[in-house]
Amino acid sequence: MPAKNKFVVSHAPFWHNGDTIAARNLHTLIAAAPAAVFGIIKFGPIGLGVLGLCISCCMLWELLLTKAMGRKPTVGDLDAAVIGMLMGMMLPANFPWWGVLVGGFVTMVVGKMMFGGPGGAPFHPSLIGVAVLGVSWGAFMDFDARYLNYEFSHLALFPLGAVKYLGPDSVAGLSATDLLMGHQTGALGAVFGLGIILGGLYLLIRGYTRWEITVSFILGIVVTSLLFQKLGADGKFAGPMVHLLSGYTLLGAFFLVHYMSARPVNLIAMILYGAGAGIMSILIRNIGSYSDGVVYAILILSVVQPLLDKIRPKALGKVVKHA
Amino acid sequence: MKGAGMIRKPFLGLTRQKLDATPLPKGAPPVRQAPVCGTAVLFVPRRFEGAGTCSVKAGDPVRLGQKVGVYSTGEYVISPVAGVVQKIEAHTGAAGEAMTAITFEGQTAGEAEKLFAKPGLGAALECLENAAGGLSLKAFSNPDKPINTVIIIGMDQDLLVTARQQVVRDKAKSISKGVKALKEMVNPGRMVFAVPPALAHEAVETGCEVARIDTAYPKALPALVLAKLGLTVPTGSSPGDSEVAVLSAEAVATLGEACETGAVPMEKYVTVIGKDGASKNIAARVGMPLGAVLAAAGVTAGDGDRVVLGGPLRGTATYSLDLPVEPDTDAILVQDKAAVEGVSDYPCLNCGECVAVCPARVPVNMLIRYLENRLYEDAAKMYDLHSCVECGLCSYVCVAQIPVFQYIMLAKRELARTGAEE
Repeated sequence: MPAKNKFVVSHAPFWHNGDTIAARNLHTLIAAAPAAVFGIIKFGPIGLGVLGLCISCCMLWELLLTKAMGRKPTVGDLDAAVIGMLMGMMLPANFPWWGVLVGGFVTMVVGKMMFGGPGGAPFHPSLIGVAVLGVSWGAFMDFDARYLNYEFSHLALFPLGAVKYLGPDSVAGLSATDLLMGHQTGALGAVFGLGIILGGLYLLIRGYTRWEITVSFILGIVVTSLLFQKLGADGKFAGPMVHLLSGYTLLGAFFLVHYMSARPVNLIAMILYGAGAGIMSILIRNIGSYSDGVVYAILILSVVQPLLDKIRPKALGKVVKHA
Repeated sequence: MKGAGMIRKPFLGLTRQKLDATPLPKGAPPVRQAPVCGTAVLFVPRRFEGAGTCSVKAGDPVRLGQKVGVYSTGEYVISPVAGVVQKIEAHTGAAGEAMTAITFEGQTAGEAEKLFAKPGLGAALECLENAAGGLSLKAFSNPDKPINTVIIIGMDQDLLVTARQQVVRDKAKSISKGVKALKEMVNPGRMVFAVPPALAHEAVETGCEVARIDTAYPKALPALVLAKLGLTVPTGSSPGDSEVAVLSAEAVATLGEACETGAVPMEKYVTVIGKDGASKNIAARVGMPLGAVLAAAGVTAGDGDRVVLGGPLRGTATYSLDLPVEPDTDAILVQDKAAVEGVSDYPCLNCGECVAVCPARVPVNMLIRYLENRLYEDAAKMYDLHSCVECGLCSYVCVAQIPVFQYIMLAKRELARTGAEE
């Protein structure tokens, strides 16, 4: 019998649009880079140490756990790198090394791998890590305390903390330009507003993140803080500008709300999720006990994500049976 | 050569990617005739259980266009040659369907028998079942459920394919005759011809109501054409309940030609798409080996390549060039081995691309979780499995390269199989 050609047989479709998880995560790393690099320049090389330790620690934990579970290593999809990067960007630039190790462990093991690894995490793992660090070692997460030895040319107080404990007048000297250009204290990767916005817009335009969530989150922040300012006790609450451009708000709007397995995918659900997280952030800041509420707000909205995603359009030909 | 012609995700992704159906070029060269080929294979949708069970046997002489009864239950084929039945054997379809393959050997020239000399629904059911274009008229034969609307689709069902547009352009007269015959045979109240705007002129001449359908893929698929016309079939109803029948333009042209000549038309248009993404329309005979059609188009397929019946998003990969052109084969796509991409067993990350792209608004992100765990009934009940229109876009956009479309088709088949057993 003559040698015959063997063809590859598989199921349709035979085309793919070429998008991959690794590409998405790589672009997320690139988008987050400007804000992170600015933080390293502003706070010194120790910031690089913290960030590098965060990323490597998260990647290592994922690698170890996939090995221990006898699974194919998934660290190559760069998800762990993004998680580590975002966790590092939410920490004070001179966070102690042991704190990073603990945070990395909690983030990857409790936040991601315990739920089954890729696609299983019901919360953004970075937020889990930061929330645990904040609750356990609040003093080390206090930006004012961490940056005592720094000489800043600008107000040397964490703006949201100043608003909460000293009143909005204490940050009256901070202009929008100051906040956008990073003339404020805060987390390593959260002070350079302009960099976060540019990186975030890049991800939105490329279609890697969903504008519906970002826009509704920002609207939630702006509208709620405006309502507090106008209707609340005189001179007690800060306006939308401070709330939008300081703390984790921008990092939240462009990066943290977009962890894929922790956010809904249907239009109305996405809008409710984004707006809910924005509103919740301001509620925590203004009447809760924390000066920044973004971390908890997004975590809480991720809890209701499966419920929210039940709000979806009727499928083609679906007949709704009325009782 | 890698992925020549393949459309990738565009750089900007804020709005949904639009895949446009390939239009038939204005100055396209006339359809090339495939060379004469003396071998032909036809399938009958029934399990082969030994030569003794068939009413025809190897070595039987056949005339061109003769009706050959294969089983006593009524399955038949129309002989595509004047010669002999060479062999009868079992064949398994791409989805595991048990079929009987009948191979003919002989001459294709000469005058075919005039089986359709007296046009009518009965005669059409008796001899046009495996004519070019896949003209299935079974839907019309249920006296309890008369068909009141006929939709003729003059649009190709996949990207890169232009065969059906070519039929609308070249065979408008035959389509008009077919439409007239349908009106006489079944008298549906409404006949709609769905065409791309560029072919509206040809469609108007047939006397049908013309629906201009957007060329964005997959709006030409039957379920979406029906939705546009406000005729959406509720999910869960069986095909026999419908008062709407969908036919391809080529099937209607076949009916028109049959009325005109009295013989059963066996020639159909096939788009052959080469490794470079370039396509040619070939006039091939039903039953002809795929290899002969590829040769006519100057396309070769080598070891490790992929040969697909149909287009890049919905086609069926095949394993041999000896397999025939089937009555509903609209295209043959050859993909270079460098362009063959695998799938992965990565879990769903819930990126939501499939949900955004699904034309039937199926919550694919939830559906795939049920399908991966073989919870097919729950998938159908809670997550709209049966709303799927089978366009393949979910797999095309899947970041994790999950074979979503394959899972969906598997689930549908499993449900159909277990449903039939009960």
